[in-house]
Amino acid sequence: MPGFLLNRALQYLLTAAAASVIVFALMQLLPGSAAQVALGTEATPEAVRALEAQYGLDRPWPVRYFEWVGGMLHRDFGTSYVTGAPIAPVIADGIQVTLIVVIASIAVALALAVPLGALAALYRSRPLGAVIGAASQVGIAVPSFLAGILLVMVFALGLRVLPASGWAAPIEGLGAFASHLVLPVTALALVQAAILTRYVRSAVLEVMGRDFLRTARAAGRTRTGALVRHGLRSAAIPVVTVAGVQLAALLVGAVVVEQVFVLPGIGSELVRAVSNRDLVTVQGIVMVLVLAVLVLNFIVDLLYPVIDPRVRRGA
Amino acid sequence: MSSVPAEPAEPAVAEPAAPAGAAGPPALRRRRAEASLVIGACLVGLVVVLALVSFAWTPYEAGRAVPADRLAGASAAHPFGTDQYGRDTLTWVMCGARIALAVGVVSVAIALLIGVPLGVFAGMTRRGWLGALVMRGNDLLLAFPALLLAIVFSAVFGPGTGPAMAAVGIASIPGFARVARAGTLQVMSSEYVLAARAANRRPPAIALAHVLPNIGGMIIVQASVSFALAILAEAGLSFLGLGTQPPTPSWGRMLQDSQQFLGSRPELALWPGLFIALAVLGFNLLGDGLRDRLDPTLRGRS
Amino acid sequence: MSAPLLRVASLRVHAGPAELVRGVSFAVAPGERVGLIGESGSGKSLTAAALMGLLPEGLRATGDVELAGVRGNVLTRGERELARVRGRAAGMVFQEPMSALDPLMRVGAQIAEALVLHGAQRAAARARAVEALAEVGLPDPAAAAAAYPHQLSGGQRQRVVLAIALANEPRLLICDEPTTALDVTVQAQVLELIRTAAARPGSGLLFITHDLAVVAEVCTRVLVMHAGEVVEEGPVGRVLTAPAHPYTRGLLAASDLRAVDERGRLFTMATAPAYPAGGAAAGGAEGTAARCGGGAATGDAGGTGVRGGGPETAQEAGPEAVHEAGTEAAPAPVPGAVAGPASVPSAQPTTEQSTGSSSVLASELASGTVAGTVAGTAAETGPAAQDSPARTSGAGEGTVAAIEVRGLAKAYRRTGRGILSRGSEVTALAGVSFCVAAGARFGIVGESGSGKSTLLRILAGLEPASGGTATVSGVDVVGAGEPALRRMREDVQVVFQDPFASLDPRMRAADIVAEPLLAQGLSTAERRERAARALSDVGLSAADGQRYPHQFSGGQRQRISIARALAVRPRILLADEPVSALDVSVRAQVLNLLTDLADRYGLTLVFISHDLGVVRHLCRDVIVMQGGRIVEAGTVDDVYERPQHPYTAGLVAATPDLARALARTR
Repeated sequence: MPGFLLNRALQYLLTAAAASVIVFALMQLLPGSAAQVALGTEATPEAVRALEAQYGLDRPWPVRYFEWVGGMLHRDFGTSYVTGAPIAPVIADGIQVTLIVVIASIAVALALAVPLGALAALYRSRPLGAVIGAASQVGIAVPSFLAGILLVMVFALGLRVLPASGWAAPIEGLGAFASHLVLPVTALALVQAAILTRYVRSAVLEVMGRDFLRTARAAGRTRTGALVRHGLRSAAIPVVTVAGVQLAALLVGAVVVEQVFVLPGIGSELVRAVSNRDLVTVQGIVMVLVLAVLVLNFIVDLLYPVIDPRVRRGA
Repeated sequence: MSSVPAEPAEPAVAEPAAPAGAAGPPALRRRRAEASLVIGACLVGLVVVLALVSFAWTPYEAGRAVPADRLAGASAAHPFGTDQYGRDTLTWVMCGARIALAVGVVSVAIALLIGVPLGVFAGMTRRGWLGALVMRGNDLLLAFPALLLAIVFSAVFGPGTGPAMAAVGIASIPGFARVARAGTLQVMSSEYVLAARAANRRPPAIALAHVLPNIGGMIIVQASVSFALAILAEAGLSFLGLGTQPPTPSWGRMLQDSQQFLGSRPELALWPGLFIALAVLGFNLLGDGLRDRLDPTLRGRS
Repeated sequence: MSAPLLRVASLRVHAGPAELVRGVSFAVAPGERVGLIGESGSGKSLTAAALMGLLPEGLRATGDVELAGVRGNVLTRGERELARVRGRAAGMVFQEPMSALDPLMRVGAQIAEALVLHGAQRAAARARAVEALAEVGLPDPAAAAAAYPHQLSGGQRQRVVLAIALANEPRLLICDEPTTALDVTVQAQVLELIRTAAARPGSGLLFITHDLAVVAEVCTRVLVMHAGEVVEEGPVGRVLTAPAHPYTRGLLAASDLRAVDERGRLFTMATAPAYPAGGAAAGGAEGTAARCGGGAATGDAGGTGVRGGGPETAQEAGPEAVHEAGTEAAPAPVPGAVAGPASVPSAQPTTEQSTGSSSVLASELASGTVAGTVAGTAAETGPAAQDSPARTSGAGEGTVAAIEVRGLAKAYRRTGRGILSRGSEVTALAGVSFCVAAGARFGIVGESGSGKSTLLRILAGLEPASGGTATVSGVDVVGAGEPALRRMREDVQVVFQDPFASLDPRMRAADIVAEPLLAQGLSTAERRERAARALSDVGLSAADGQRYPHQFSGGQRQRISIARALAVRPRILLADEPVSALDVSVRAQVLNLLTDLADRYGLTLVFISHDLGVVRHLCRDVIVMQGGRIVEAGTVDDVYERPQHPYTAGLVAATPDLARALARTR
């Protein structure tokens, strides 16, 4: 088991290192320098050169790369060329909001998808199964920002029971915090639940054909009893895999949904930075998002040995 | 953004087709597959027809804005109403289909042309490190979902449809590579490939005669699912204002513009939203239907 | 007589409008061991599943099933009620032990669960589970209880499944092909265990299998199922010696690998009427001594190809038959005898057996008659012989070895699962040496993991070896470059095990057969003609060539596979368990086909199998492999009648044998 974890941790570290190279390299693809972009096309060459010197952009790229990475390891993401302010606090504030939304969403999505998917599998040749199947198929087709817009129409503008936008930190009162959280989380979770329901359904269907359920039934379990006691845990293995992959999608989905609900998350900062052509900030935020994806996936990986004894032995 | 998963991590998870034994009577599955196929094809057909017709005819010119008619409701002149500049919503919905399809076609083409050969090669080569490299590359790209990569491209190259297509296409490569590699590994481990090798067939011939025909079905399914993914990614990007730029009509952009009028003119959001959903649903259903149709265990059993 | 444990009356299983089991009736009384035999698709497994309400979804059972301890008709009970019955009134064991246990749960917990389900206390159940594991003969029951299924072997897992089935001491035990997936030595142990379980006072056994020998070893009474119906029923001794129904007779004839017709071929369903019913039992009664002298002598001296039939065959078939065989079947060479003087006395460095060294080669005794036979063969086979002058002359002079293997070794690295792990070295072959004479039929026998399939792949140039030499058709495949391997492969073809996996599902039969010709640079017309000829050689029509693999039955697919191998006119045919996935009746046909073609084209046949009987029928010489080594080598008769190595002796003893089993019942 420690071997397995060590291996995975090492793999993720390597992936993170490679990702940082890619993010950094992408930013270097920019026609013209970051200083040029920040100052706009009207800037005099002298001004550009001055800014380059100020931020050390005139140095060779390996130096700048390692400086960037080294800074991040000390929680220093550099300074925005556009606003002149340090980037780290902006990221720190934003990522909190985003992670709260994302983790709440995946929890809600799983809470919906697991029972619905299992039901869809059990009742696959009956109306209930068909209804769940159709609903999930439609749910997948609705992007989360559209779901957000529809929710706002109904619950904020129509029924006026929930705020249409904005954010309240937990310190400002749990009621306000929760009420601002409901719609964005629902928007993300519904769509995610639709996707996961289909995976849960196919995983459960696959498990239902396994021989060991028949063994359990032959020993005295009912069909449903055997599935609950033996099947669901096996079905969890592929579902966990997919949920891990989906976390990345969810994180990026949050970026868009934050726009719908005007949440002060990292996504809003990212969009603002892209619009302002504030590349250093974009670079930092993207790296943090990628790291978040990797860390969340690593946490998901920790579940495998818990579920599956065959992994524990693994080197 | 939430989207159809770019690629299920394990081939075993590869959605919905459960193994024959568990999936109920094959007849039922066949009927469902037929239904998915027909509905999916109809929806995709609708979007394609809208896009094609828009080149020849639209109710109004896309750029024509009549301020006097702004924010009008449905009428004979404007079946879908007009937006805040007095532009015809139906016209924009039709022209928006072009962008959606264009992004889908180009990005799927990029991903397919790069991903499939990569996956097949990785699956056929006996050099383990190459397969490992492809898989690690996959892991890496999984951390960059299509939309995130598109945002980065937009930041670097400026917003626009082109960078969006490229980014979505690149982000979709791992999906194709992974499916192709998994399928290739399966084919390569089969006895008929062993027989072909025993019959002195060379690797390129084996790839063409055995591997590609047998993974073709998987690739087609992956393509239709990726197509849906691309439409979603483009819509999300345009919704953020980082994708297709005005004055080119796009569904995501229309949704963004509609946000200020949600209280008064909700249909401004509903129409583009409906078509995004229909297009994505169409491609997903098509993929599902094809998956079952191309499943040899369901074929020719009747 | 006490009330039956199980009474089934007109049981039917429906799949929509189709009826898969059509009115089956039988009973199992206490103390009875009832066998249900049939080929795939006969409905035998569905019958068993229906008894316990375990039919796959979409299937529906009607009729009347009464089980001791359950009131009324089992088939009308709901799932909840049935669950209470299952495991308590009757326990069930299934075919596939590798997947029959929950992989995520400890073995002991799975047995304890069965007990708790029927009212046991949790702590008591846990203790009882360890006892149950001891009862099914697991060496360290406490450790086994704490193990996960993947840590146990197939045989051990089947013991665990048996422990679960017996946990609540049901009076009836239902076993559905419980040993089909197991190696013979393990099978013998599990069968013994099942016999013991069924011998508990007042209990009964329902045993489903396709294997007549197994049923004879285990059961007292037998039902024969065919196409959803029971066609014959009676005591094992009677049904398997004096079958009343033609289907039973056909089954019996086709599964008897010792009886051959006047052409030296196995009996099939079609030729079954000529099969001397009861021959197997008679042979068994007389013991094997008669066979070893008579069988070999008849075959070789006559040069007729009537081998292994033993005196019974001759007796029953009458003198005319023998005479006819003598003349008509003359071209059939005595397999392996061709090797005769070609004997290259081979030292076998790795075998402990000194006797193994020369026994690969035909005995001196045979060489005299052989020369004549070979000459005859060469003359009669005509074109095939001309195709390969080397073989003909070689056989005449007796110096050509088609395959010569010296100290062949294969080790591969099991890849580690992560960046840090190096993976472990696994030895598949450890110094294997043998020699196959041109034109011989050579058997390689071994259980799973013996390295026999790896050996075949190395010989076919499909997998690299890590040491030694293996000269196949003049090319040393170890360390040979691709061009040399390509040249070698033109002479060597392979028939694979699985008729469903060895044909590309997206190619037409004719294209499949023509595929090997593509590499030979033949014209399209030539390819088409050769493919058509190959198809007709295996008894398929030109129209069949336009069909896809899934449109053929298993036996037909294997014919296509054979046609593909023969299309290039190889000199050596490597066959990897080509009949192990086939039903008995089809098996006989395919084996006969292989024999016919090997004769007609003068092929050197290397035949790999786990089944001693098949190899004994088909081959002259055999090597027995275990754990990557040859433990014994010699002529089939020597190896089977006088095994020198304990492993071989165990293998022979463990192989279910109809005649022996019937002799024992009497």
